[in-house]
Amino acid sequence: MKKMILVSMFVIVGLAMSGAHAQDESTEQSLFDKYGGYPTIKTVVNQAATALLADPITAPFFVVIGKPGHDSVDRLLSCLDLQFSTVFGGPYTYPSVSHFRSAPTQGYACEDMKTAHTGLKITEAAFDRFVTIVAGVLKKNGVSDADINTVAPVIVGLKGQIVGQ
Amino acid sequence: MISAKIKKYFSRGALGLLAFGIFFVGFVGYLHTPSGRQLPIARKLLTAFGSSCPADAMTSSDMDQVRKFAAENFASLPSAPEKKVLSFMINKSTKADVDQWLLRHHGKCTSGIRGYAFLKCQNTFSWAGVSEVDFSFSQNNVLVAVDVLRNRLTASEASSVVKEIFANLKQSLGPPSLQTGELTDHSFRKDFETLLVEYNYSDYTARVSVSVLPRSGVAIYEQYLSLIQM
Repeated sequence: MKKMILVSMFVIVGLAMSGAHAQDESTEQSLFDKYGGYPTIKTVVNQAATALLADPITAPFFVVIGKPGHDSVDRLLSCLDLQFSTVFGGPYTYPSVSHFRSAPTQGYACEDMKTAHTGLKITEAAFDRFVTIVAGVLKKNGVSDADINTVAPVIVGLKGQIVGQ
Repeated sequence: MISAKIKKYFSRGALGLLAFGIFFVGFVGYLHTPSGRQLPIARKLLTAFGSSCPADAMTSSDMDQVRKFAAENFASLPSAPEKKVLSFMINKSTKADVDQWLLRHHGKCTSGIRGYAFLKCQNTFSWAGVSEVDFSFSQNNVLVAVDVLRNRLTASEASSVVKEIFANLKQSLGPPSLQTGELTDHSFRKDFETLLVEYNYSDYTARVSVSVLPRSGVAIYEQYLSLIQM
């Protein structure tokens, strides 16, 4: 009997602890919410795009933008919004359909990284440039080094799908 | 009789070729559409069919158009007092000036055109950690951008290089438009520790981004960019 009571107590305490842990996890604020949600993501994407498009070395990778049958600036920025929102732990998944910016009713279908970069022959140096620019833009928008260290590895993890395709 | 057979085969062959041609053109056209591009093999097929890297096909007016989008964000700012980089003046120095300078510094570079003409100098300079210097020129062969990429630096190498870059910028342009992060003796010790300095004007932007990339050391990317369409 004593043994049964002891086991039951362990079970109850265990359940209570796991319940508390689950509650902690569900109430933990995502970086998306911590930094002000979509408006901050939009600013980050705008500033990163500006730094990449102003530079004659990185701009050619965006050459098809605005041409018939290819990305419009709005679609590119909309898909980047979706990707960054996802990386920041927002309630989204990437790749999927983005409804950000001036997306049509059905949204913009955003490609996976490998498909989006196939044929662009992006070098490792170009990728390092991109990551450095994005990290700078995040910092500019008040994201702490510790949080950059949380999100940037996700972007760096995509390197294999972006470089040399 | 024979000629009628030949005619029949010929017309069948021609019809087949025509049908294949229409299918091919239609299929390649489809691969260029947003839904066609979703096919996992779309880009590979386009490359196999002779469609080159779109970046290689960029014209100078394409480049102007893309850069105009970026430059609009700086339009309301005052113009730059100076646009000095290395020994050059952005928007004034010419390709001939850069060629002479490269000759003096034994720089070995490749040239090409991607929208603008460029000189790409990889692993050619003995400056600390410089892995690539790129010079871009307008249609009139005027220097419009200089990019310097340094990577695989240690924390102490990066600190001394950044100190020098900041001092040069301060001397020619004064205090920056924006600086995030402080340069200390303990800088660049943690992954993705980041520092950014920007000088923004309506006709020019100078930007230094520094970040610690895991397993590849500190990367410093300097961008000195004209924002004028030339």
